[in-house]
Amino acid sequence: MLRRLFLNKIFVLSFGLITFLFIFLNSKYFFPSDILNYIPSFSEKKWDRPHNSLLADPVFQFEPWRHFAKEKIIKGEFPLWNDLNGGGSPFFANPQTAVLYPLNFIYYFLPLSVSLNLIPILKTLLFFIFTYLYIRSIGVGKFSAAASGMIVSTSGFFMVWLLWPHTNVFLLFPFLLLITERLKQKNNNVDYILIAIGYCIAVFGGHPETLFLVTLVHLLYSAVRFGKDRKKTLKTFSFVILGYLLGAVQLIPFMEYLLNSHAFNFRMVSSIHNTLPILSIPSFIFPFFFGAPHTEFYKSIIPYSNFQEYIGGYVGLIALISVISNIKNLNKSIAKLWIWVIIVSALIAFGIFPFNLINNLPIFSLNANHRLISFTGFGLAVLFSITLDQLLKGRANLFVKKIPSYLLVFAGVLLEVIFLATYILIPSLLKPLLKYYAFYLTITMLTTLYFLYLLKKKVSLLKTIIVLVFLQTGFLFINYIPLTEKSSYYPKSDLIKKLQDLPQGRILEVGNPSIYKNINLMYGLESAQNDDALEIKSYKEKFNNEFSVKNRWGNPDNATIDSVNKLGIRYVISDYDINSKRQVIQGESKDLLKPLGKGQSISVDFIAQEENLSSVRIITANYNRLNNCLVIVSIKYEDKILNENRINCKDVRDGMYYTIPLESILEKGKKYRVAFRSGEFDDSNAISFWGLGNYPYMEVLHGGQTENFRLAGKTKTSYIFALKNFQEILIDGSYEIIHKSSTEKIYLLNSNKDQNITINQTYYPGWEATINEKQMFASGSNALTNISISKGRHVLSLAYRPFSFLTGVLVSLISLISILIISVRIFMRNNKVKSFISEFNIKVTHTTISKNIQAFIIFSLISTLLLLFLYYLIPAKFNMPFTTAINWLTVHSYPKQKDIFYYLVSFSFITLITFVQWFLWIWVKK
Amino acid sequence: MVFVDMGKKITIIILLILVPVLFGTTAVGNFFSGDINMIDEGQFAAWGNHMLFGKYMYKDIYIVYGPLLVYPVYILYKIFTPSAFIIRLYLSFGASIGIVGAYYLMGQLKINKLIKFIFLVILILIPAITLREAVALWTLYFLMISHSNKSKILTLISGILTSLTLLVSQDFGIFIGVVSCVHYLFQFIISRDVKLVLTRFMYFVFGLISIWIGFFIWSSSEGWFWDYVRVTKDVSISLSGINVPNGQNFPNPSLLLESKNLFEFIKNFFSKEMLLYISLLLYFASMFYLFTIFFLKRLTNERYNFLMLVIFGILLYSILLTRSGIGHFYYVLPPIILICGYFLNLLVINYKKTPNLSLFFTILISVYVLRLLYLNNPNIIKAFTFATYINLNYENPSRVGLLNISDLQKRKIANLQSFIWKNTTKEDYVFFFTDAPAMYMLVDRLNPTNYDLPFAGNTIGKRYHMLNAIILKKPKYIFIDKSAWAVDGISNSQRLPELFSYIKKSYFLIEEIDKTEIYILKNLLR
Repeated sequence: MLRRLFLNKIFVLSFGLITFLFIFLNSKYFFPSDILNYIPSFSEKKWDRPHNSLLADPVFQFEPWRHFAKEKIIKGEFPLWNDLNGGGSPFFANPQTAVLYPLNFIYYFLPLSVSLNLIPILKTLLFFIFTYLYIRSIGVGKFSAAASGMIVSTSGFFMVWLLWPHTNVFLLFPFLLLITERLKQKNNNVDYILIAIGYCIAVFGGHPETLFLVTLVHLLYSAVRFGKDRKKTLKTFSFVILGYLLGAVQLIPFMEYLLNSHAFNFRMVSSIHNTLPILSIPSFIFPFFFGAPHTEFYKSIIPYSNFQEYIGGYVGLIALISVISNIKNLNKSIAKLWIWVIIVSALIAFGIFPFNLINNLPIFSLNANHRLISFTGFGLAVLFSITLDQLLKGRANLFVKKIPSYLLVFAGVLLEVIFLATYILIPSLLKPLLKYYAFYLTITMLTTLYFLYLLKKKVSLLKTIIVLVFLQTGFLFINYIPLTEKSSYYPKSDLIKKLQDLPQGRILEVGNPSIYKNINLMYGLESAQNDDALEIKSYKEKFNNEFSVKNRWGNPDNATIDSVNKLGIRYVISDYDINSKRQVIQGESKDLLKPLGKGQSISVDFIAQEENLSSVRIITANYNRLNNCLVIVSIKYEDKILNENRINCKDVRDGMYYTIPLESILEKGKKYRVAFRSGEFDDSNAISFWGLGNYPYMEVLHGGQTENFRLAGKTKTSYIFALKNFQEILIDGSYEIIHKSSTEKIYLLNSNKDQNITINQTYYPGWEATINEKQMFASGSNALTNISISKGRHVLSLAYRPFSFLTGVLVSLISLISILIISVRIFMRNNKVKSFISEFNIKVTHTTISKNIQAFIIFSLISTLLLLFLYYLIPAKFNMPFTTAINWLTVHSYPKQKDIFYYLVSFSFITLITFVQWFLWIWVKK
Repeated sequence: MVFVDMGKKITIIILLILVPVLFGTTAVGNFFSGDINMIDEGQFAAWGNHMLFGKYMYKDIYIVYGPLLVYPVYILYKIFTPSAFIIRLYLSFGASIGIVGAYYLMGQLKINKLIKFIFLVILILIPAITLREAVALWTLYFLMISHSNKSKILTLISGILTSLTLLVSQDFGIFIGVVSCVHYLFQFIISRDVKLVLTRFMYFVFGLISIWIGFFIWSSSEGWFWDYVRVTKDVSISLSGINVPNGQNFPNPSLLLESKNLFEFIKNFFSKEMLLYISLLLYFASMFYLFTIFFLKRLTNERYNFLMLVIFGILLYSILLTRSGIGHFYYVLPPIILICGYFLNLLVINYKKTPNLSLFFTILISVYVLRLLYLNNPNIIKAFTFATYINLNYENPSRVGLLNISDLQKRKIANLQSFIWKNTTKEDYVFFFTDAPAMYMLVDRLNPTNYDLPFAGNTIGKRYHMLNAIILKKPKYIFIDKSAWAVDGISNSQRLPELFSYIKKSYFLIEEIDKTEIYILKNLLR
């Protein structure tokens, strides 16, 4: 079937052309790096509105992880440990890094301009192909299968999560269904192996929650489809397990990390919001019903849920209407099965009683079950393909046909009128959003009406439905993920440059996000925080204890020398001077205050607690646009202005802290007023504040305090503070760093006494400590690594050698060998192979020994010459690996891996190429 | 009739053990003659002696071999008195066992008697087989017969022997383990009766595990199991790479291209360096031969055995990538010599079909083998010199035993023994900074560090471990032999800079005996 698909020249040519144009003639990246503009330090010079506010994770997490993995892999290291976040954390064990996911290898070895654009295309294409093949396997015609393939791969769940690991896993779902259908038709052992391989790739995909749901639905599907053929069901289950075992290299370290994680502990004790709000049901009809994140204005109106979550079931209005109105004709067993899948998955996703009780079951209680909505969407697409197939064959009779045409037209016109009226009436702030809504809703409506018209009058033109369907799916989401300028791909801000110039050290972010979440990995900087969805429990708890108060960005808003010391932090970056004393006047910021437009003013009174006022700190809002207004800020005492300053609105970012210098001498205990007054600018060019009710969040900062932190640098939006007398190892004595890499650290210690030392590295199982190459017991009582040492000079070596990873490798290897054995046995027993070998055998027998020997000698020489030529053409460079050893190799700077490389490559190459030549030589003989 | 056959077999085995002991060569001479090899023989001597002092393997002594290679020395020392002679006897006997193993392996390869005899002589004359190779060859033999006889008991024994090989030598054990894995993998693929293969595999695994259980109980009761694991990991992973104490680059084949004329080309072609490449050619030939056999579906038992030997050989050859020197080349030779024997046998069988080709390759193999023999020329001459056997001199220094060593070595040992025994007690530590571990046994004193071969402690952690041990245990005297052989041309003062500077700072040169500088702890001078 796959062969047939690829033989379709139009498909191959058009796809090839689009891909080529997209990758090679595209000067932009299909990657939402413009979201970095939300961070003040990245938009100090120029602010452009980020296209989609929900595409943060790919930029803040997945891309930095892939980048980190790429750096390590290219160096020939396996990325086991992330030494740059949260005092160090497991890297590979975090499944979302998807280090071994096959498509990510494109990223490791091809330039960014290719990989960033090609990987999403390949994901979509694979999902399309698998869906197409699956739907074909259940007996649906080519056209309908292609239409459904297009629907699921360009709408709802797949589009919004395209840059997430969720889709790495989900794209294998139709593949697994396809194999099940093949097995139902014919018991072929190769298909069982494909199930195992499919699951292994799904494990590497990097999203255990989706994997759990895929496994669950696939196993239930298989059990129903195989019916009484329990042998097949059992065998399928066994190969699913084998697939998981094949992925043990990823799963076992993950399980270890999970059990040691803060997230696991957190989810065990607190409920997670794993259902969708009923309110989001209209999204099945029009996806942007509750806002479009890629428009100018978006705010999730449903608590604990966002657009990405509740959009999962959307497959277009045409598909939905068709399926619902054809429900009577969907009476085949496969259709009935999908109806059940749709109903049950939707009921669980929306948490409808009694299905919501499932969320209390073990594992389910920890899982994001609302993403079952994706199966609802997939099921609708499958049923749509069946419906369309029936329509094309004239077997369907949709009841929507019975609705009079004038009623439909009337409904459409009415909707448009309502929109027009709303557009005129609503405030100017929401107009851009409504414009967008009007445009897309009109398209949805017109396409649906045209579809109904086709049903009634022009059934012969029904194939044009593919265009209509695309207008309701791919077209709606075409701009969801933006194409961004290459210059916006992790630019080096002034802050980053300054931090890179400083000696390496752990950085704590205070106040505004500056090197938010994991983007520090892109710059080789070390961050005290980590956001990998798991996080080592001990470190996270310690961090939360030291910084119990967090701001709206999850950052601490203050830091003390003591707390910073306890976490081995060397630098603090902040949007304000942390050496000053803070007096919080109004600490809440959940409400957005009304715009500070023409003639508007806000004032806040406070009682001075200190004498030297240095500045006022507020939280601003810019309505996700660039404003050029001015706001006057003044400090008053009984109507007397003590000082005045202005806010330049173009420097204001949404939800960010903003500090206004307002130096004044105050009298302790007296009442002062801070007033904000707008210039002559209307609401469409105005900023606002976040606060509570009508009161903005506000704190006043007092100067003249003792300088606890040393100012190490300053940019327009950030301060960099350094800790005085920073020590990487807390020791009574001295230390020297001999070597440092992500998985190995070597120090030369000079201890003044027998003592317990603390190393600036999070304690985690798998880290082995040796003193002078004798294994030592390391503990992590205070989250960091502690080791007892005796007086004297010692070499302390810390190396990350996780037993979980080694166990995983072993289990995966054994599983792989099992699969290889089964595969080769199947291959050897294949009749075609048998006859081929027999034929070959006869040909060899007819060649004399001396001729064979001569041939081997000649072919070996050819292979050797070819190899030498290749070595000449691609000269291999070998760097001297790190070692503390002194031997002939280090004295003569001879990289030993050179010999091993040449031996392995040369031996394998010459043997293989000679053999291939001999094989061909024999084969062409008559 | 059975008894006659049995008697014949026993006679052959006795001959195969005795002849190599009497006429076999070692890297320094032969069983009767030749100085004590202070490093190769000396390390066993030192380890055995330290164990007599109550020290434990791996925990107190850094040993790069398996425990079963060292522990017998301790037992022999317990039974007899410690001497260099016991070590030579032990190592020569080990080599003889290996030669018997090679004889039986050739039987499994169906090599004819004459060729078998010729190649046995070659194995006796080249110091290619040590106890490590011996155990590996026997294990390989049992793996082959367990396969051909389809016997469960033999499979169990092959499992036991695989474990024993690992306990004798880490690298040989790993190689044999890989060969066993390939064998079972192959069987799982081609066998029609998977259940039978699985049963035999279970027997193999049972044999494998049973030894490890015993070993675990033994080593844990003495408290050095985890030290063994650590050292094994170090030897298998760390020392096989850039950290290797004794290892140079693999020779470059450009030597051949630099030849100015045909004579020089032939000379270079058979040079020591190029011998490594010629050996590789043999492996290539073996691979192509096996490929052809596989496609012709003519994989007989004998050819299957050959396949296992080739895999073992290729793996063993990889030792040369991390270790250097002709001594290490000897270690990889046993499978190469057996492969030569196998091919020669084939050429003889096929002589009538392809006379010219057979003659050409027979000459080529013969020249190669003769060149190998020529490598050990001085020792072969010694082995066949009558004087070697009658010139037994028993006026040796204490603990040397019945070895015919040079007067120079005799004098040196005697002088150092006399100095140490006069100036120290048994409780005192002495340290030989240059690599001469044999001296610890000869003077019957303890090493303050774990490293009897200081050059092996070349990484920073090991260097500081040594330094701390010296600082803590304060050896009274430290000996630096100025005439000592520097491994790979890198002296220990270069390898161990921290230790060397500490010795220079805290010790005082008081005397020099036969080019050996004697340093005394400065505190003791006051």
